Amino acid sequence: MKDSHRISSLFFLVLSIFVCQQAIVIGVGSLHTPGPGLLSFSAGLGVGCLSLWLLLETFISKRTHKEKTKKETNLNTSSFIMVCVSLFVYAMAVNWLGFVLSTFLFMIFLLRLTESHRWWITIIEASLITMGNYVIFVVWLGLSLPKGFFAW
Amino acid sequence: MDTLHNFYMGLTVALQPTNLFYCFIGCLGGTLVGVLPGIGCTAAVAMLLPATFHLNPISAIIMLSGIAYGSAYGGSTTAILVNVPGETSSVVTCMDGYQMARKGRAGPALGMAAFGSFIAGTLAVVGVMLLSPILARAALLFGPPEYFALMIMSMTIVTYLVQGSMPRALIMVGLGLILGTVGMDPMSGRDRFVYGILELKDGISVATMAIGMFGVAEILSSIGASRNTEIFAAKIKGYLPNRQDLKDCAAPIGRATLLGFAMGIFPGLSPMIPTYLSYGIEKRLSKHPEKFGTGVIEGVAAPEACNNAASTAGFVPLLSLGIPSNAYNAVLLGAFMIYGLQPGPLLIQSNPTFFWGVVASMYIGNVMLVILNLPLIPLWVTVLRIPYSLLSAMILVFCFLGAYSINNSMTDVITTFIFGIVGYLLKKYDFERAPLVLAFVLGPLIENALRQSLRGSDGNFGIFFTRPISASFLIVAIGIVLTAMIKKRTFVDKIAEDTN
Repeated sequence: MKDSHRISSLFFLVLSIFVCQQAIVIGVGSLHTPGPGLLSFSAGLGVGCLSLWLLLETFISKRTHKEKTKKETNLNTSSFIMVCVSLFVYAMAVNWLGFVLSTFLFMIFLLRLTESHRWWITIIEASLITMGNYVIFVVWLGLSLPKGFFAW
Repeated sequence: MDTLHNFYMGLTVALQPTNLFYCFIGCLGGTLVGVLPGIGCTAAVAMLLPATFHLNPISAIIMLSGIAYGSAYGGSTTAILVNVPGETSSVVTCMDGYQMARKGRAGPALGMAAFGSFIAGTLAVVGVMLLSPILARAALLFGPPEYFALMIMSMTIVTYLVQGSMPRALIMVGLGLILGTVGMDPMSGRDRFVYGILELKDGISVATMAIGMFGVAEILSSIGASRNTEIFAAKIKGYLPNRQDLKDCAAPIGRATLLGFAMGIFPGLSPMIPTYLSYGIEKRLSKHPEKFGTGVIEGVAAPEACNNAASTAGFVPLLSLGIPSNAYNAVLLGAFMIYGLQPGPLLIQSNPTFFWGVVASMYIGNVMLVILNLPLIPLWVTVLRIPYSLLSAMILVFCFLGAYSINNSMTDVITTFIFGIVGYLLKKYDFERAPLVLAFVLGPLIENALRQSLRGSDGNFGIFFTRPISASFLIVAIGIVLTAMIKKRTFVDKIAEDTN
């Protein structure tokens, strides 16, 4: 628990230093003529001070913070990372393969990862989800979606 | 008399067939969102927002507003039947609602939740009608220092009322303010944190952030999880509470409505807080407090009435001051700007048809919900039986489509997924996301007010303390921060412990 707090505090501390430095480059201005970097510098400074305080607290304080109940996924870390990567692959594939085909393939991948049904059930589920979304968003709401090479 | 005349004008707008249709869609969609755990009304509104671009602003806002109070109704259905809150504001309803279902009284619980919500919602709409114009007139006296101070006070209230650590919530506020500066500075034309990425010149869209943080992140948090739920649908015998139930719930509903409305108008307050308080009050006032948690109908009526009143009351600061009271209203504020409406005290004066049309539609929406909600329960029960793996896959595609439809751009989709991962990590490391979104939306307004104030006062920071209204807001904000530093337990943690 303390390790995760230290990591997050350190991350925000580094981020705040970066933001403050960039804000100075953008131009903080003065109190008479506040510049475009004033708010981001002030916010960065605030984030930095708070992160430093929290970081020091993890070393000094003996009090343990009450841990909120976390919903743990049933997926292991590598499967979870695969899901995250697949989101971006899906986003990039839509322009190339078109919405229908890429969504169908993405659904099959996701459902195989999260369910243990037979292939034909997965294919039916993926088809229903894809066509359902197509009908609602393209046919009914008139959204224009990429058709890809196959012009689906 | 003016108010009644204006409300009548609003009714003529809200009762137009097109607006009635969109009100119905919003209420139905909102109830569905409320029934489904894993997706909240904030993400739902963000996803549907691009689909409303071709509508006229009144119809669009009527539909999007319907999602808010619809989700409040829907959240109670899952809370009572499945012991899973569909919305965070329905957490308290689980305590007695589910126990009533286990005793075979699911019908009266659902019925009382619907009636209580209807009564509270109707009274809250009256409050919005009366209070918003008064507040808007008072706000015409506000200058940039007052707006700056009010928004700072809103931010401190938000951070005080989150569960967990206030410093962590303040970090989220800071991060939200920083993200709000991404893009071209409207005053100087200077690019900030753009790094040559063309799509960032216009800044980050509130819709992509909300869909990512509240939609994708929730799915990533729970993907692969199975829900072993027992749904008490078979035992629903009748939806009408008996005379004793009505007698027992009359006063709790009245008190809960007042409490929910009074707390809901404060910017920064989540509807969850008043529901906890309302439950705690009814438990203390009850002749049999030991029965709370075992299935008493007051334990359902009060929180449900409270959360509906609070979510309706949240429209008061939004419509009269242009300040969102929660993340959902923050997205709605973004919608106002997209439709070319300038939120703030002049909105009521410059667009009375819009304001009164939306207010009247809230009342009509409440009527629709109380009529539809109960007969559609078998439909919601069917929806709840859909395996969560299927639902989460569908919601991810909705998120993709919602993000894509903003600008027909894959960059928005990728940004949404990035925010989804960020939102997941924030949740994993115990950071609240609502303060971030609120600060993100308010950030440009805060910056504008700050810079105008400093220019106007020739760099004198004392302007915020020499003007009485501004000074009052800042003193409250400082008081809240000092209180948080002194108390060991946060306000919300204390309420949660007292209620359990």
